[in-house]
Amino acid sequence: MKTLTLNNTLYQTLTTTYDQLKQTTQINANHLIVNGHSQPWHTDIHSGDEVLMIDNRAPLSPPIRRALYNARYGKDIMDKLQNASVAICGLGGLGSVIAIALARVGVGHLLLIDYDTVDATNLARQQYYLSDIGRYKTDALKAHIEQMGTLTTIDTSTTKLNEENIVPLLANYSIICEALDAPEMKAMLVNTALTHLPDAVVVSGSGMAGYASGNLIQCKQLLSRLYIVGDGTSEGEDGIGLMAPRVGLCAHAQATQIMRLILNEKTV
Amino acid sequence: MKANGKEILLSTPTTLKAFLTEQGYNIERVVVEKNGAIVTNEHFEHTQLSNDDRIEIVHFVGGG
Repeated sequence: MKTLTLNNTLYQTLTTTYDQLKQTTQINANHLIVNGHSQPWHTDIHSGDEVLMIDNRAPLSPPIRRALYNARYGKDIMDKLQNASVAICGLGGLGSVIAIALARVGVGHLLLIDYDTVDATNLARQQYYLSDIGRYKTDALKAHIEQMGTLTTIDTSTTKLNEENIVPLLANYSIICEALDAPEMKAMLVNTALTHLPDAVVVSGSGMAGYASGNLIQCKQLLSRLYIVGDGTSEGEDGIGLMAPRVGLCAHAQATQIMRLILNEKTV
Repeated sequence: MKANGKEILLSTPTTLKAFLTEQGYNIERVVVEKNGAIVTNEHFEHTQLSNDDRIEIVHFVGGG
């Protein structure tokens, strides 16, 4: 007789493999996790196994989602991601993409900041839909992410950032993502955060317009607490404008660096 | 002086504002660190540069 924990309940069995156990118990499942790792059904049963039998053809409860994330990345990595909070300043072509990537990877908490509403021109590269036109970007993006079945809690602030409100809004965030549009606003946010928030690291985007090679988009650590992602030169306001693939590339490079910082990788 | 890693010899005393303008930067679009500390743009005019200084200039282009 073997004793194991099956879907969080103690269970005793005489069967030798999980195939047989699934048949015996008639649990409707298509995914097996044994001791934190996904395993094939023919795996042998050992006394003391911690087992989840999951049906992933239906929405999963948060604890089961967490177990699947743990199985995918390892519990230590998932703990760091879940304990992290990131403030995303600007929810356009960069910020909307970054927020979704960080939520999907399992970051525990996001603060989404933007003062603007969705308009029809935004749909060319920002993560909104026709039905969002007229809604605040904060409200629309929060609603979309909550439909993704992630493990992320979301706060929003429908505010235009300025030198006075940046410190109170961002004081509890050690990672700040700059995803604003105007270069003066980018400089203002970075200057204010680096001057008045001594524990904050800023990951900023600069230079991602047009259709030059994607290989020119790089992440560089330019100051001890400032990472800049982009090609450094391609302006959004003149020339060809912002195009979804290259803006998305910059956004995901920013999200990647934020993920690395959460996982204590300080290099680029 | 060192600016973004490059050696620059200052022939006359100059302010940070004059230096940035001469180098073609828009002072509303930069983040500047002098000897490891951020200098915000309201202080550019009163910040003197000398040949012992090390500055880093980050300039932003639009789009997001």
